[in-house]
Amino acid sequence: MTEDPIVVRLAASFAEAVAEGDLERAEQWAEAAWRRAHQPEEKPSHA
Amino acid sequence: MPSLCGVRRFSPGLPPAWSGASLLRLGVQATGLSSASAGGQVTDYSRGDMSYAVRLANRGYDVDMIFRALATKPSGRRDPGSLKYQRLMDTKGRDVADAYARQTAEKAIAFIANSPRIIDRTDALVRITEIKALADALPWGLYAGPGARRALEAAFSIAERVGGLAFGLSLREWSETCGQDLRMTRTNRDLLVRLGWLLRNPDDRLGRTARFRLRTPPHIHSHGRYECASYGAHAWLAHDAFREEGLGNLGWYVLSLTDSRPLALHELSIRSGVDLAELEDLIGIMTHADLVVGDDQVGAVPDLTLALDHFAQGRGTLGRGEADRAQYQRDREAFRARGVNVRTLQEAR
Repeated sequence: MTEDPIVVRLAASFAEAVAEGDLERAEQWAEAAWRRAHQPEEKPSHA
Repeated sequence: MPSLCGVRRFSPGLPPAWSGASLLRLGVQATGLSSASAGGQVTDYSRGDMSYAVRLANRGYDVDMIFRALATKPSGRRDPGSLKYQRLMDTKGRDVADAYARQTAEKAIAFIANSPRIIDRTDALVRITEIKALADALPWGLYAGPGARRALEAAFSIAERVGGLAFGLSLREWSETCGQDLRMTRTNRDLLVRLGWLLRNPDDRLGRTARFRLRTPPHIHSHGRYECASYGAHAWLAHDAFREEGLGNLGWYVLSLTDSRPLALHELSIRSGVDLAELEDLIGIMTHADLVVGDDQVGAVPDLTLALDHFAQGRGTLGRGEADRAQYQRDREAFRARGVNVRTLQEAR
């Protein structure tokens, strides 16, 4: 699994939405996590 | 004016030099219509109101908020929310005008539900989360104060709800969302704007809901690293336990840091930028109130809301948020009824 903290956060928000029973919101968080996980890795700003 | 560009496609016999405007002139001559009606200059107030209501619904307004916006009276330089509402009020009375505004608001909400606007919420959610992670990586005790961080959390909460980085947020709604009084909310909001976390829309007009855009301040660099911190702090952001007589902004900040995973006191001090002695006092109070547990490592209890309710009851702050909300609602109604400047009302209290 990913170690990207942003993906972890997005996944946590997804889990929260699922726990609240808000499946529409959960779907958006899941899609956001997927997109973040598949976007090119961010380079350090001084690189 | 409606676009006429496509007309030629369906009329291959037309000379190529004929523009849309020429066609319009020809049509006006042929049919005897006035150029105003043919050119789409008819003022349709209902349609304009519906368009306004849908815009508000897209920004997260509910039926009551849209109703209030449509019923706004003109005052000074402020235009009325709806000319048709004012006209109905003058000719047929308040009940008919109110019924019109409410029906328009309900139709707008239904329209949004059936045809959500085409925006990329997903990208916005990723971006909001990135900005939030950067915010969590800073020791706000040293940086701008826990009150500013709490006000920023309210902005994150609204942005997530709207599904975009840009949103409109009045000072009263901000105050309700973050549980701070109006004066403190204004101070923290202005500080966040000065620091660059929020960009205020330069076209905002006095008396209208202020619009903001979340962003990474130019002086903050991620270096590709983010901290993992609070996830569920929204749930009790505005809790009465965090009033000034209770745990205050610092209490909220410390609990939000220890909510996701327990931290040793010295680590908590480094992460938060709060002096160790001050932190020990606060943790002592929180432990006594069953809000946090642990000796070496301090973590928030699982069912925080219940413990916070007990604490607020003990401090006499329970119900303060509800009272503020009721007061803001009265202010809004007073403003609508008499055009009173709510800010003057607040300062007079």
